[in-house]
Amino acid sequence: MLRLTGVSVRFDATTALESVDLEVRDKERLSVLGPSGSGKSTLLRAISGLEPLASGRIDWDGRDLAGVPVHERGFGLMFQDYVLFPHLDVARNVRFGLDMANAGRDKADARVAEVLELVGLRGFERRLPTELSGGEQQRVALARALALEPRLLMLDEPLGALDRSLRRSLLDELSDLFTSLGLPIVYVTHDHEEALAIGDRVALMHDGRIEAVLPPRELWQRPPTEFAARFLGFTNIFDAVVEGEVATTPLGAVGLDNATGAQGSHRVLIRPDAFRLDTDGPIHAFVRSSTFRGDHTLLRLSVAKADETETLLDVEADWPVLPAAGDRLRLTVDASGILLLPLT
Amino acid sequence: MFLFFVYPVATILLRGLAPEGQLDLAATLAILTRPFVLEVAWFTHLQALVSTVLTVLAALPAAYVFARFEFRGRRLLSAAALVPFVLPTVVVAAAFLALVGPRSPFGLRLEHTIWAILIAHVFYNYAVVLRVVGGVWGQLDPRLEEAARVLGATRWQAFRKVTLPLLRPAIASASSIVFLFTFTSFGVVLILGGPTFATLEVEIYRQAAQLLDLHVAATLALVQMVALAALLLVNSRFQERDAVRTRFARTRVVLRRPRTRGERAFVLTNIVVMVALLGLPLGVLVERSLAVAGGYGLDYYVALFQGATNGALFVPPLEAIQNSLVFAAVATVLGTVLGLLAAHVIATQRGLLARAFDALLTLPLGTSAVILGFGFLLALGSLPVDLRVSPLLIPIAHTLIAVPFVVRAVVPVMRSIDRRLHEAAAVLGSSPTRTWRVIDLPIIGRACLVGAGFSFAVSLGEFGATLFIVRPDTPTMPIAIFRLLGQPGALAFGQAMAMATLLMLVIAVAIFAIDRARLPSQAGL
Repeated sequence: MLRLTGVSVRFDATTALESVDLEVRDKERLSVLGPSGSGKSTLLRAISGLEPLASGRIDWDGRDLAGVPVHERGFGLMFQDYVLFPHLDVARNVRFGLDMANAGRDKADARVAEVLELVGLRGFERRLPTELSGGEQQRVALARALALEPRLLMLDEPLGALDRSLRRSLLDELSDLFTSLGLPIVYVTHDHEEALAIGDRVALMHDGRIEAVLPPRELWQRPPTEFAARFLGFTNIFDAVVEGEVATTPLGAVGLDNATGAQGSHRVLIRPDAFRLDTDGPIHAFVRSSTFRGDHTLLRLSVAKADETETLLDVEADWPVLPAAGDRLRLTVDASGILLLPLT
Repeated sequence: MFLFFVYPVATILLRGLAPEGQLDLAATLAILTRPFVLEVAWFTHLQALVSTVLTVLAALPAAYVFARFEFRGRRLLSAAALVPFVLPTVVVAAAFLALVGPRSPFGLRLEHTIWAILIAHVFYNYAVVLRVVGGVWGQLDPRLEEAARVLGATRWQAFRKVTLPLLRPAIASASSIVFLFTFTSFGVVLILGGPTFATLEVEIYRQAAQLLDLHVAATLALVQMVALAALLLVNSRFQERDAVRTRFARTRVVLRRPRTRGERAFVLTNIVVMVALLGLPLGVLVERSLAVAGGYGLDYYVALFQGATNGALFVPPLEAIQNSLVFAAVATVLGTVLGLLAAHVIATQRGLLARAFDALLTLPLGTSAVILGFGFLLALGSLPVDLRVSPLLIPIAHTLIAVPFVVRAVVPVMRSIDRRLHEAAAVLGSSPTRTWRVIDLPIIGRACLVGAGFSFAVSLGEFGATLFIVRPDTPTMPIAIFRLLGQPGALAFGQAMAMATLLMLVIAVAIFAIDRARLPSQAGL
């Protein structure tokens, strides 16, 4: 089991990681999600031993790794945009780690064949990285990281450099592969769909800190902070004052499911699918635009307030009759789709 | 070009192969198999090889430091490292004579040893390796080494298995340049080597100018030319190989400050070694030029300007300075004008002819100055007008050596002028002449200044060719330094030091001016 306790990393003057506490359990798949510059890559580099720690400690099965140099940690790291050795062919790239470990010729050959089979690249042995497509390079990088049978596999934006359709199919493939490997996995990405699909838990990073570590479903349903909510793509976030079971928002007063102990000022998230058409509804809205999205239609609404300012609202509508731009509507909100967030 | 390059070199060929006017290969062969010829050829290759290896070994760690780390004084140090490379050989030789010669302030006595030659060569060519290898290293993705480390490689294994193979083309290219320079090393070996050591170049000079055996000299020149041609061929082959793979590994590398104690120690050690290697000889040169009996003073400089005729010089030292400046001025004007014309032809004409012309112009760079001077000596005496007595001869030789520098500086800029600029100007109502004046001239102008600066610096420092064709009463500064160094006595030595210091300062100013005039995009030239 990998455990990080109060890990900080500094570059010259800036802090890249700020007292990070994190656990990766045996056979666990941990997604690390965050915008670029939030410290995700630095986290992987620190675990690998490539970045010296300013403070804190990293343990593997209770043993401090501080004195263990990079090449003796036995972790697999797949770099962002792969960093294949351009002067070595596919087979030599994959067997690089085996050669370093003096694995022996026959054993190394067998293992190279095995992992190339695993990633579906048999027959590519003699090709140079320059002659491979992006997807093929990604597989070589994966095979190279797996060849040594690492005790932990870390992947830095493994699908980041690929186009959309390829990402979809590779994501499923990776997920199946991880299941069959039974390794602890740290999967870094800035794409929340990837993070939610891959991880048993998702660690959300923000400015070098861990904002939250939650199972994907929980993170999606109850984002714990405004940053988390916004990074997952939620937009309807407003100021709210809670009194009893009612929150006063720019949309007017809305009822809450369970506001026990949460009185006073808050931020509030209203999920875009929580709105219902209701001819008697308390919310009067004007449709600014309507975009068909396949399984729903995204409406961008504006709600006029008493002080003449307007509030913008995103609504995912799967209603039988859909309004067009310029229409006026009345809406109600399901209490179950309203989430209180702490003030930031 | 033909008269002053092809003809002299052809004359050498003729002299080497047919000394008495008819082909006599047996005589040439007899010279070639003389033990001392083999010995000289062997020594030339050996010292060049050892110098190259030492230079690469010395500069490689520094190339790494400059490619990866940010530290205070980085830019200054990087620019300063170029200084030795542009110094005239005579100044370098004088500096090393000051450092390790009979008047060494440290009591080091290495003159007339192979060590003095080797260290001077390392000093001279350090910047080549630093710039060429460091340039590629600085663009090499540092994560390649990290990827190797994560896969279980130690630091050393990661360097040997990943970085070194990717740097190999750059190292090969830098090595072949250094080998070429040390192979044709003349002034350094002549002055520091004493009577014991001779490269082909030095031996050509001795045979021709001291022993007056022109046949042997011409034969040696032949050997030299063949060897050089082979080298240039190998060099161009190296440069084509492996280029693609290295390009694949390129990235924008962010320099960082050294973080761990080990890194800081490594960076500091390299800076100290570099400053010592590059700074010490020049520092001692200046120090010696100021060290008079019982303290420091400007006595030697004063002596240079007082006009006292020195036994070896025939003329007051001041006249050598004047000669140098006049020759350099003429060579600068000639070199810039001819270089511009040549550059225009090369930049506007495409195809075989232009490329052949380009190659022809570069030849004087490759054939070495000594051969050029020797060719002048042999060939120009047989013309109806004996050009050997013409005061123009030295500037002409200098021009020939300077033209390739001008061409190299101007052609890329000429080619870079977008044709659409002309079209845009025409659409905006500008006549062709006016377009040339307001668009081409300002752009090429800076490159011209760079080329002119190079011509000036090259002419001021030129030694090998000048030594052959110089007349006793019109010495240049390098010749004067050489002659003064050959004189016994503290005064002559001090004056040599003083004049070398002056020459170094003038060249440094010229190079500094070039650096300022250069467009940022050309910084790697």
